Amino acid sequence: MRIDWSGPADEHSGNDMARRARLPPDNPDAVGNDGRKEVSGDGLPGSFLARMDSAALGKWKAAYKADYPARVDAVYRQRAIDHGDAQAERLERETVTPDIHGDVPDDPRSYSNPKTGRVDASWSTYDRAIAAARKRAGGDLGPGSLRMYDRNPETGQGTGTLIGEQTPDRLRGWRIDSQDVHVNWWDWTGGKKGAGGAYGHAWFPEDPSTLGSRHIGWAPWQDGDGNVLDGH
Amino acid sequence: MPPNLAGVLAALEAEGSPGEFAAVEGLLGGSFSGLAEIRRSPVSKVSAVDLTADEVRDWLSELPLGHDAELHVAWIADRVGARMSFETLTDNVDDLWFPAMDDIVAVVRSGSQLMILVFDHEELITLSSVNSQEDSG
Repeated sequence: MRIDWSGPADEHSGNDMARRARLPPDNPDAVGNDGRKEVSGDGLPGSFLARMDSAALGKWKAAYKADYPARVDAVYRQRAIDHGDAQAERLERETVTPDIHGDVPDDPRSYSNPKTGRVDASWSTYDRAIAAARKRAGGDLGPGSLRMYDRNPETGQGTGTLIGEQTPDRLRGWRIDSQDVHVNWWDWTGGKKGAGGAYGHAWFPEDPSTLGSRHIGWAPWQDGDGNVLDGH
Repeated sequence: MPPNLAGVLAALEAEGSPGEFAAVEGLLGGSFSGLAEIRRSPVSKVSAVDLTADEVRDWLSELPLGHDAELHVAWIADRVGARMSFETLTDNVDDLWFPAMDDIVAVVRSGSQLMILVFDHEELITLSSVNSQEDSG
C-alpha cells in the first residue's frame, strides 16, 4: 500500500516521506540522515520516522499499518519511550490494528510491556491466534522462509502440519507452542528487545489436541527445499 | 537461533557447530529431555520479562560462576553449539539470546558437579547444579 501526497518536498514533511516511501528499500535515498539502512521494507528508516511530527506519522501509519503492523507498532513504541508523554502513549495504544488486539479481554496470561517491546493478546480460537501472530510477524515471510512442521524426526510423531515460520535472516517469525498454549512471534527488524524490536504471545484456549511444538527442539526448522537446518 | 548468530559467534571467536551442540547434549546424558526436571530446583532463577540487557548482565554477574569458566553453550532449536567464557556470554547476552525464538543451555563442569544455565524463550533464566552423568552413572 502506498500513500499519495502531493506538493513540494520538505525533509520533515509528509511529502518527502511519501516520496521516500515510494522508493524501494535498497534505494540509497531511502537512508536516514544517520546512515541507517531501512530493513523493514516500508521504505523509511527508523531514525527518520522518529523525527516525524505526529500528523505526518499518522499518515505513515494509515498507509502501512495493514501491511506492516509490527513495524508500525515498534515505531510508536519507540516514540513512547523517547518522549514519554501522554500523546505518545496514546499513539502507541492506537497503533495496534484491531484485528491483532485479541478478542479475549483481561486474560491473565497476557502481559505487555511497551518498554521492552512485548505485546501479548488473547484469542478465543486457535486459528485466530495463529493468524494474529503471523500478522504480527509481518505477514507473508517470503518464498525462502524457514519452516517448522509438526513432526518429530526421532519418533515420527506429528501430523506434518506447518507450525512455525521465520525469515531466513531470523528477524521475523512465529512458532506455535502447544505445550504453553500460545503462538510465539517476533519482529526484530526495529532492533533488539527494548530497543525497537517487538515480540509476544498470541494466546489461545487450552486444548490437548492442539497442534504445535511440544518444546523447543521438538521439531526442526527446514529450508524451502525441505532440508533440516541442523547446526546452520 | 538469534538473528545473525553465526556473525556474532565469529566476532566473539567462538565458532558455532553441530559438534559443540552434541557436546552439550553429551554432558547432559545424551538428551535434553531431563532439562525440565533439572530446572525445577534451581540454585538461582529470575524472570527477565521486564529486565533490560544491563539488568540481565547484573543478575548474571552475581551467579557463582567464575568469569573465566568455559561454558558449553547450545541453541536448542537450531542444534548449534559453541564454547565461550562465562564473561563473554554475559557481556554479549543480548546478541546471543532473543526472547520468543529459542532456548539456550550453557553447561560448565565444576568438579563433580555440572552447573546448568538456561535462558528459555519465555525469558526465565535458571542456574541449576547436578551431579555429572559420568559420576552419577
